[in-house]
Amino acid sequence: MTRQRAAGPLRAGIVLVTDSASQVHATMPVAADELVFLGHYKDFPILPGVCLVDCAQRVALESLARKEIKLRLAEVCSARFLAPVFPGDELTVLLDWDAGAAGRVARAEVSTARGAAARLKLRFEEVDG
Amino acid sequence: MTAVVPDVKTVLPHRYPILLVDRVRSVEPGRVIALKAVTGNEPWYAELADDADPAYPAALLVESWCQAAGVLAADSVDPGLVMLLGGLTGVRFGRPVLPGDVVEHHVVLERELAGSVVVSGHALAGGDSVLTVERAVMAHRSHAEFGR
Repeated sequence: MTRQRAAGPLRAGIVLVTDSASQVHATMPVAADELVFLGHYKDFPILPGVCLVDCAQRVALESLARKEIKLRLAEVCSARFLAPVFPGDELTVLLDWDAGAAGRVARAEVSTARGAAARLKLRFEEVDG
Repeated sequence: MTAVVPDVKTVLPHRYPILLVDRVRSVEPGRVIALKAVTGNEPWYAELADDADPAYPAALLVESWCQAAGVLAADSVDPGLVMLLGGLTGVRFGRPVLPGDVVEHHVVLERELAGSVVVSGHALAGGDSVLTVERAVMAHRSHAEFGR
């Protein structure tokens, strides 16, 4: 098994379905045995909303890494959590890079088969040092 | 006035491995300070390559801060409800949090609405700013609302 390059709350791998300069389409399974479900919550497993931020962040950074661009998440400009995500769901991420923005700003929608689960605006910046 | 400092497990429904507040340092009306000690033994590091970036995941830092906010909101919440994150605005990250850091979360209650609270604040580690939160909305919902 490939060792991870960054720590994160979910063990599942991201699949980049399409990856252009302006838009990324990715999927990620939410396995029923993800560790977060042990404690969020007992007898009522539901994915913490922040995991959707992590998912969109990973999609953005993985896409940038393929282009040999190394940035870090500087700001969650906004996030709206619209619907719950449960064990066994498959997440779809549609991420658009905002061409006009200073720095790198991504707008992402994370959805399940039931519809949109979160809408996010994330800002990335150069890694110090 | 400083209220009695609660044990986190009596006020938060979160449990291992996602109980991300270790201790409540102080609670006052509308304010809380809570601590989270980060360790490389947390499960998020289990599959990390030895030469990889050991920064604590940004999303989990936010989750930890939100749980501190949950301590503040707990007084006004029916114990049968679960706390869910409704929205975030202006969440900025400072220097990376690393294993060995003790993060001190500061949360201020901005507004209390029916079924939700609006909070703001920041987090420090070793005196450095690691997080500022302009606004977070935490909603309290029953299991039945999700059809489960």
